[in-house]
Amino acid sequence: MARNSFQTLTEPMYYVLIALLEEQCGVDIMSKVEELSSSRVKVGPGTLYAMIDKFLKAKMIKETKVEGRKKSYIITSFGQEAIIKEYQRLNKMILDGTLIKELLEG
Amino acid sequence: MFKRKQKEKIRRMHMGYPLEVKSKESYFEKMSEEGYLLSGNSALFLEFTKCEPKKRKFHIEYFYKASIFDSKPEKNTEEFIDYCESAGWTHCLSVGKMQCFYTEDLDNTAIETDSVQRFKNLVAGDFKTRLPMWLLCLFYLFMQLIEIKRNTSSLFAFTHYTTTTFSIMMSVFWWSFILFYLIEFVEFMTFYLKNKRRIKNGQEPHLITVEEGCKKSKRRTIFLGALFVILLSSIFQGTFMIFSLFISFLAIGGLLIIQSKFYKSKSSNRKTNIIFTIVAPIVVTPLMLGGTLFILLSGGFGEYDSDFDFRNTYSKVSIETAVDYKITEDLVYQHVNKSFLASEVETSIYPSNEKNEYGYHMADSDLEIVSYFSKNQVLLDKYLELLLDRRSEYGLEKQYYDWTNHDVYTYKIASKTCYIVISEDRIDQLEVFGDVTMDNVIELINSN
Repeated sequence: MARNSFQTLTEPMYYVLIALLEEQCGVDIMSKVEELSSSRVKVGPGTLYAMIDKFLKAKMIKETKVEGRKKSYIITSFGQEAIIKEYQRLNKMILDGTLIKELLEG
Repeated sequence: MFKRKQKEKIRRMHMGYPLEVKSKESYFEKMSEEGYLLSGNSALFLEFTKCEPKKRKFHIEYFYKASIFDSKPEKNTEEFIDYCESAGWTHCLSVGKMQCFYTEDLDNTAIETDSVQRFKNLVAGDFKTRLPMWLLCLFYLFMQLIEIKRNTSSLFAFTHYTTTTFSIMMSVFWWSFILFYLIEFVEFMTFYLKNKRRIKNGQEPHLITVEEGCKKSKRRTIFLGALFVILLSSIFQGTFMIFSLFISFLAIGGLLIIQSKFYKSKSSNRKTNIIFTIVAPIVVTPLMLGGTLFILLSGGFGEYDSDFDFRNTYSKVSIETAVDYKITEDLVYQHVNKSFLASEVETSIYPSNEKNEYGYHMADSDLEIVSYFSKNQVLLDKYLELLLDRRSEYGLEKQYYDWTNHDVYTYKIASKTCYIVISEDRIDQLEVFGDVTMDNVIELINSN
């Protein structure tokens, strides 16, 4: 059931998973997301905490190390699958929008 | 210019539910601008410590992994606080699920950027906060309906008598209390379902705004204040039931203070708090009931109030007669004087019906018999016999009246005069309330 809810990723989810392509400590994910999206997407700490919890339950990410209260995570193969699917979906949407491109070019 | 010195620490009562989070945040921001920073809590109050007056942004999060029994952050909550602090938020208060943060950087990213998640957290927090009150309300409503159906007198049977000022006050009190929380429940459900539909349609949930929250908070304060005044004024009616009720309220208040002190102690953690919350009422309730019984037995209440059998009620006069008792003697003997709260509770076991509607209880603190339930003629007779046996001791005087040929003994208890009428086959007691004589009553009855 949990996995079904990630069939389409929200923007913050998408960026958090991209950030976790490299091992990241929980609190560093926020700045990484901001960096990746050129400050367009901001994920609050509360949102991030709940999101990590959901990703862990869905086995899309896994815990790599624990130093005190500091925990690090990395994406799993299932998480990678999800992010690739999302990337392909977004790409398809861009390709399908050729009419919009023509409209823009006038 | 003379400037009033600010206190180092102030306390403010703030009644608000998790869903009214925006008005809470706005209130804390206003206090911060006035130079007081939220720093702690005790019982029903929030504590503010003097600080540099500054614009600060507050955020209240109802953390889903925290428990309502947490007096300080547990491991999961500490982890969450770390996340928030690393994002530039300072943690200032932790009460159960509620975690308060503030930041001096007004452009800082909000703690919860996902409005749907925030809505879910707030709804869960709000539901758990209000649930005990709703359950209590439902219990009262259930008890009221049972009492109305059975037409008996017990601690919950205030609502269907309007014969005395006390009864009217209590009717207003209980029904307003129940209705208020029922309305709040309907409001909550409407809010929840509306927003659920919005989320389903891909829209952002609409949270309660600052103005709406303030209005609700004001409405609640005025309502509960008014109820408290009604309750307080009822005390001057001097009845046993209201006294017992008032003791209960005081005990709950005391319990909250003790709980607050315990929650602040070193031995407080989630487990001990759960144990304390369960054990404390179990210890306090018998003490409370014991205290009430002690006052009752020591004669502190004077007389009992009874709503029964106001068959002839005029503007200022009411007469009680005790006739037509159909309940078996054994049944009464089985239960009489066994109940902890004496006759008020005892009466609740007897269903009232057409054949048995004239019962009422008696009590006189000067007599050895503290309370007698008189739905049974035999018991009433025994009570009166005992009274007559000790007539000189209790100052009963034989008198002659033109409204009866029988012997009549009179005595007074507080505002009522009791007439014991001895006929050939029975002894009856008539009670007249107020500053009137039996002759006035007869005159009044004849004129009607």
